Amino acid sequence: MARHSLRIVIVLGMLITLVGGTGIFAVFSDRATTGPSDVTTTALGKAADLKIAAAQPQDPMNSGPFMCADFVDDLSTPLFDFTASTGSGDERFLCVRNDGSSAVDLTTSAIDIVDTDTACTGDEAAFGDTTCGEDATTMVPQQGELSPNLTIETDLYDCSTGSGVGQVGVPDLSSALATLGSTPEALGSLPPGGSICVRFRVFWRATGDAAQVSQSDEATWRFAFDGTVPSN
Amino acid sequence: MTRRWRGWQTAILAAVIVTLVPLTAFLVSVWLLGWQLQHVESGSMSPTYPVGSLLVTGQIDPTEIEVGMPIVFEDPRESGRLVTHRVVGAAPGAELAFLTRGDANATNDPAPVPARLVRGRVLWHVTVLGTVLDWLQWPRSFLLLVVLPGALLLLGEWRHRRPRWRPAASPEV
Repeated sequence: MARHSLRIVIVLGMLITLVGGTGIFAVFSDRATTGPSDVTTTALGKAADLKIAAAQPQDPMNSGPFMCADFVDDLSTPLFDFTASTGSGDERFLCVRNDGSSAVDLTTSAIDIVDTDTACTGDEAAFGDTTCGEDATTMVPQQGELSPNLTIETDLYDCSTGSGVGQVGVPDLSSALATLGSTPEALGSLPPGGSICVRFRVFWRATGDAAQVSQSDEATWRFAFDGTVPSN
Repeated sequence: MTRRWRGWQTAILAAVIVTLVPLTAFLVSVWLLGWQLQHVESGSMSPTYPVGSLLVTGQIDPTEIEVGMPIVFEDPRESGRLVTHRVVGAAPGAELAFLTRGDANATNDPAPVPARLVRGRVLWHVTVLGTVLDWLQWPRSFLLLVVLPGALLLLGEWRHRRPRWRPAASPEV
């Protein structure tokens, strides 16, 4: 009886081992890494002293506190660096802290925006891009059209809990990169010693003529955070 | 070997077989139907799928995904990481993508899930069984269910066949 039962256990065990080895247990094991980032903040007065740090949600799939790297005045590494296809985008997180002695009204803007038309491709010229590719005589890239067609979405998070400040699924703020260069976005008040975590998302969602004229273009810029002590 | 020990041995083996037969039938069925098994390792989908649950997942055409459906996808922010969260909406943009969220989470997942990263949908789940099967994967299943009973079987054969010692007969006086 015992020997017969042991033989049955062995047969069942072999079946379980064999079936388990066929890949029915979902297992993934590789990892992709991102390139460096670059954000710089503007200089501030003593009452308002903003510091920023690269941030990472502790667990992007589960609400929880953000992990902020070392706070500095200016980050030297690039923030975004990617090639966009139509509709695609990327996102990065930052921690912003007020080390000043006063509460500040926090704004963010895009500075040092440079639009370059790197090549004349597809129907770019046919769709009215008069500065398409390099200049024929100087061989210098001409003015690009990407910054009005890049969408910057800004979302605010409580750094200590990871909870979103605004409405779920809807960006708190959204504007074109070119617009963000001339019109800063208000991020609310930041008390002394307070911090806020910011998610920037960059999309190239241009369609039709706008997509045609902004193809094979390049835009470079820096994000800046400004803190202003409100007047009483 | 005492009669009591033999009784225990028979009971233990019967219990093991009664447990293994449905488990084997279940795994073979999953394999034949082309489904996959996933062990729930975090509480983001509690209480729907408690930690330790076993999810049985099947393939789905991304165009058939509806709001409210729990789907299995590869984390857009961490290649290779498998996540099971519920679809809460469609992401804006030209590419088909979904907004997802864990039932226990206060906010949506930070990045939309493109259709190409969808790995399937949850068909049903069994509480606790995920931890058991996760523990029982290779090589434990082989050691526990093949090597150990095999060794016991060989030991029994050896004890059965070895020459038995008998006391020498006393010389007649």
